[in-house]
Amino acid sequence: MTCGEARELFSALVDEALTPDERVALDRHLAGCAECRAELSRFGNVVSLVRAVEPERAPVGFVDRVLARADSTPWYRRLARVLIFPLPVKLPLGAAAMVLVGVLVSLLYRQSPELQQAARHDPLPAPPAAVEGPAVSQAPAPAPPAREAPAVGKATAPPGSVQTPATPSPQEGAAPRQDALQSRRSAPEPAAPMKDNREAGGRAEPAPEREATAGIAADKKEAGAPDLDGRLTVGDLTGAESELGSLIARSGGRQTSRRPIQDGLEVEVEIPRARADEFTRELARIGRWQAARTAESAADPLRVRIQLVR
Amino acid sequence: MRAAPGDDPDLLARLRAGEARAFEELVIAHQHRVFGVALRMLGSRAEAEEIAQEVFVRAHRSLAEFRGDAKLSTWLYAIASRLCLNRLAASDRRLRREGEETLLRLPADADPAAGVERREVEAALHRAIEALPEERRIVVVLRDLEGLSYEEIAQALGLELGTVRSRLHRARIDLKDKMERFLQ
Repeated sequence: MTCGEARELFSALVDEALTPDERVALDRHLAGCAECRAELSRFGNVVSLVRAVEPERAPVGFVDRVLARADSTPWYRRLARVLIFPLPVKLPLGAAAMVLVGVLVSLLYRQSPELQQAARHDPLPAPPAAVEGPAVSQAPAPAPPAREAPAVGKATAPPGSVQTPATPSPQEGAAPRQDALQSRRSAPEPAAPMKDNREAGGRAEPAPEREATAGIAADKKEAGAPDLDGRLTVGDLTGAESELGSLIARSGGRQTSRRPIQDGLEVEVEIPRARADEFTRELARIGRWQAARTAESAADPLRVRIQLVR
Repeated sequence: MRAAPGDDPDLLARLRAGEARAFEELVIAHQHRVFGVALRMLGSRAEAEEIAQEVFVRAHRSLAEFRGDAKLSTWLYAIASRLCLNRLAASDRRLRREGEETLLRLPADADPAAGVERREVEAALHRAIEALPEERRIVVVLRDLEGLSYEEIAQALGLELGTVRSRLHRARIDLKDKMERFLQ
């Protein structure tokens, strides 16, 4: 190896980047060449000097200035970045957001009675013929006959009281919500009688016509389903009928019908609304009282049908 | 070789996910090195900051193109080197402003003769490095000032390993010749 060839390897020697063969050959040359050893020493010193230079530091505020510039990236580039957002990240985020919105809506609905009320009471227009006064029985809607039945038996509550829609038939009693909806379809909104009156004011029918409508309503009420319906199982029919008569009298009510049925009698009575609770408690003393439908109606008097059976 | 805390693979994943804080961490971790390369190549602090900012902005915009087969630091050095060499090659480049501010600094114990003589060595070394041809200077800066391996330099500059080794050797010979009177 010549001195020139040896000195070509100095840089790699300093960096320990020589192959084993190069290292052996260079060591052999250096061992016999004082000039190359001195040259290597100077070479090593200059490399050490350069490496000793202290690192530079970026000026104060450099990071903020870079971030400000990076944020000022044109909108179309930022949009592109959003669009190419990796799907494995985007999809779960989207799904989580949808679930969160669903849960929030559900919670909001459950905790807001007004929303539930609004969802239950569809704002149906008041039937044109439904004109009612403070103490007048509610007129049925002049709707098709199928929708008339639920309105039968409804009575307008006194001013200020809350009126609950009647449950017109035993079949519908099993589904109160559906029952209530059906009642609303055929009757004006009971919670706002005053509003209905105001709205009807502009198109109010003449008084005689209104009275006639009320009369029809009363007739239909007589023919309709009772407000309270149940079975009273007793040991002695005759004795029980006698006790029932006394109870009706004590309650200030009256018997409106009586007819025999299999295993006993069916009696219909009218009881003042205010005595209704007491009346049903007393019924339970006469025999085993099983109410098929409870009185949700605010009608007064309350119409009760009792199947007195053995 | 100096440590590179910003080469953490987790940081790369967060950068790709578009996390703003991750980009800030990247700038914090690499700001001094990128700025140092630019300063040694361009000789002006103002120009070095301009280029160093551009390095990070470009990195921010092209993170999606970074395949991850090199370290983040190597990728940043590659952008910095290319921008510096382009700037130096530009015909309208402003005249370099030389002054004390751009002088490199040596630690107090780097030279047995403290004080005035050390400052002479610093000034001589600064001039020697600045006088190197650009393609050699960048190799010395990346190897001896920034501590990159031959392979990383080859990757950053797009050169063969042999070319890196050869350019580095020539650059060191040039420096030795210019610093001859200060060497033992």
